[in-house]
Amino acid sequence: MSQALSRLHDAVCNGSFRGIEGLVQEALDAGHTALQILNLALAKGLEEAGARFERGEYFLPNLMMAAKAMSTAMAVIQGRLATEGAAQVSGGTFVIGTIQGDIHSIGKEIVAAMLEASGFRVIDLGVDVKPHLFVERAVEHSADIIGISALMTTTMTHQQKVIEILKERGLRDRFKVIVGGAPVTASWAQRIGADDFATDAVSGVRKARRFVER
Amino acid sequence: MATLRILTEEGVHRIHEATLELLANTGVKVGESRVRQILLRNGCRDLGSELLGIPRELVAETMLRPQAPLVLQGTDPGRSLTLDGSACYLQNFGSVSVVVDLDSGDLRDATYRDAVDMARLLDALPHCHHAGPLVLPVDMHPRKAKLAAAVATLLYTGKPVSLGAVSDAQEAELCVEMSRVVSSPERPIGRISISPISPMTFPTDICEAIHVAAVSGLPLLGLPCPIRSMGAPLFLAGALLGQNTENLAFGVMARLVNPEVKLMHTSRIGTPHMRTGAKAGADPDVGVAGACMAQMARYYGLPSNVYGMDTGALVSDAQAGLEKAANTLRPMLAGADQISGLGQLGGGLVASFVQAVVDDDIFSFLSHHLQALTVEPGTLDLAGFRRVVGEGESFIIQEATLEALNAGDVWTPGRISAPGSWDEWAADGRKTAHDRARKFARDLLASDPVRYRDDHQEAALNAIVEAA
Repeated sequence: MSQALSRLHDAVCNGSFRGIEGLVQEALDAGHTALQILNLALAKGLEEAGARFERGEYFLPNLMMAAKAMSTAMAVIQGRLATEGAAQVSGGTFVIGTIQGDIHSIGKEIVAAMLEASGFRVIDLGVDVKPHLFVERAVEHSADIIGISALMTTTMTHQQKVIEILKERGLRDRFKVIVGGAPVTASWAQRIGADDFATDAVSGVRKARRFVER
Repeated sequence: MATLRILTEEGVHRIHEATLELLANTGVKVGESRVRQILLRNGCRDLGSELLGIPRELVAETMLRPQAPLVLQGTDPGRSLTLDGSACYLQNFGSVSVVVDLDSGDLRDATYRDAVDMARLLDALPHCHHAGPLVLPVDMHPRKAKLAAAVATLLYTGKPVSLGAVSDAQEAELCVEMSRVVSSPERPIGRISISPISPMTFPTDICEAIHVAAVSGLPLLGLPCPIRSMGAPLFLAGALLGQNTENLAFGVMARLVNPEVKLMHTSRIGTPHMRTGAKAGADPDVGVAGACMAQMARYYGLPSNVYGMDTGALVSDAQAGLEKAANTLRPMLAGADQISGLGQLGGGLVASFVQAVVDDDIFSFLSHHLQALTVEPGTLDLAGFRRVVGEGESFIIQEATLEALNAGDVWTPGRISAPGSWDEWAADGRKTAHDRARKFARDLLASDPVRYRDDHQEAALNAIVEAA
C-alpha cells in the first residue's frame, strides 16, 4: 500500500475525520483511482475499526468517528466512483428513519453510522418520516431491511402503520423490518408483526447482519 | 484523596493522647523474647506480670517521624503499588479454610488446588491490586499449609503479594526465605503480617516473629484484630483506642529492631453478635472504623490498611453487595490506602470464587466515586457545543468524547453488570450477576495458567514448604 493510502487507512481507522478530505486529495494526486481509495484504504480502515470494536478495544465513539471519517472521505470520491463505473460492495441496503411525529435523530444516526461501518448501504430518511415513505424508499432502493426508530411511546404506535402498508401493497415478504428505540420491546415488535427489534445500535447491527447473511 | 472525615481533629488528638497514656502507664504484655529485651534497653518500664510501659518519648522517637512512601513490589513491575495517599487499592481476605465450590455451590474444605485456583483468579481480577493466600488448604499438614498457600500465590500472580500471617520465628524465617527466592535486592517482593492478641498482648512467639520479620526489611503489617466487648471496649471509640495502641506498640517494637522497616496502620475491629457472641459480619461499624483508622494513619504519616469488604452474608446476594459496598465506600472516601476483604463471605469464615469476582466489580464501581471532577475549558467542552449546536455534528464524534473516555470519566460496566434490555436478558437465560461472575471464574480457570516463576524458583519454594 502506498503512503498516501496508508495514511488514509489509518485516518479512517483512528476516526480522524477532520481534514480527511485533504488526505483523499493527496491519494488522488498520487495517481490512485477512487475505487482503489475505497477498497484499499477506506473500506479496510473501517473494517479494522469494526474489528477493534468487536474485540472490545474500541468504544462506540471510536466507531462513530471512523464512520464519520469514511462518509467524509466518500463524499470526495463519490462522483469519481460513478465516473469510473465502479459498483460499491455492500453488505445489504438498509432504509432507516425516525417515524412520523418524532424528531429524535441521535439514536437513529448512531445506528446508521454503525451500519455503514459494517458495510451496509444506508438510506437515511431523516426524522418525522411518514409511514408510506419508508415503503416507497425501500422499493426505490431495492432495500433488504427497513429500520424504524421511535423514542417516544406516543410515536412508536406509528411503526405499526409501516408494516400495515407493506402488507396492503403485498410487499411484506420482500423486506425485513426492524423496529428500535428506547421504549420498544420484543413483545411490541411481535405484536405489530416486525421481524425483530433492537434497543441499541450494537444489537441492531448484529440483527441486520443476520438477516442479510441468511 | 480524602474527602470524608469522621473524627474531628480533636478526636484524633484524644485517641493519640489516650494511646500514649495506655502505652506508658497501663502497659503492653510482652513475652520473654529478644524484642522484650530491646524494649527494656530502650527505656520501657517493667510493670510486672509481663507488662511493659512504653514511654511517650520512645513512641515519639520511633513512630512520630515521617516514613517514605511504601512501595509494594510486584513481580510484574507495572503492577507495583506506591502507597502515597493518592489512590486506594484492594486486597483479598486471607487464610479461610472453607470455600464455596465453584460448581456445586456447596461449602467444602479448601484444598491446595483451591489455593492455586484462587491465586490465578486474583491475578486476573484487575481491581484486586494486592494478592495473598485467600484460602488455607486443609488437605496437608497444618504446619505446611500456610506456606504452601503463600507459594501458590507467588507462583501464580505477578502482583504485589502477602506472604500470609506468621505466628512464630520459624514461619517468619521461611517467609523471608521465600521472598529471597523471588526477589532481587532492589525489588523485595512480599509483605509479612503478624497478629498480636487483643487486648495488648504480644506473646513470646509473636515477638520473635516480629524480630525476624523486622530484620528482613520486608514491609510489615501489624494486624491486631480487637473484637469489641472481648478484646476491646464495646464503645467504638474505645475499640479504636485499642487498635491504635496495639498498632503503635507493634510499630515501636519493629522500629527498635530495624529503624528502616516500613509499616502500615491497620483496622481489623470486629463486632460480635451481642446475643450469640459470634462475629457479626453484618456490621456497618467495619466501614466507620476503617475510615477512622485511615485518619489516624495520616496523623502518624503511615499508609493505612483497613477492613472494608466485610459481610455477614453466606452467599453472593444482595446482603453481600450492600454490606461490602457500604463498608468499603467510607474508608475509601476517608483516604484509606488499602482495603481488605475481597473474596470473603460469612464474616470472613467463608471463601468464594464468585464473590471474589463480584467484589472486584464492586470496587471498580466505588473507585469511580474517588475520581476528582475537573472543571476547566477542556472538560466543559465549549468547542463541542459550538460544533454540535452550530454545525450539526454530534457529541459522540467530538474529540472531547474520546478524551473523556480515555480519562476514565465514564465508568465502564463490569463483569457482573446486566447487559442490554430485559428481553435480551430473558432470551439469554435470565442470568444473574452471580451466574456471570461464576462464568468468568470458570472460564479463567479453564484457560492455561500464567506462571510467574521458573522451574528453579518453583523447586526452591517447594523445598521451603517441605522443610517446615
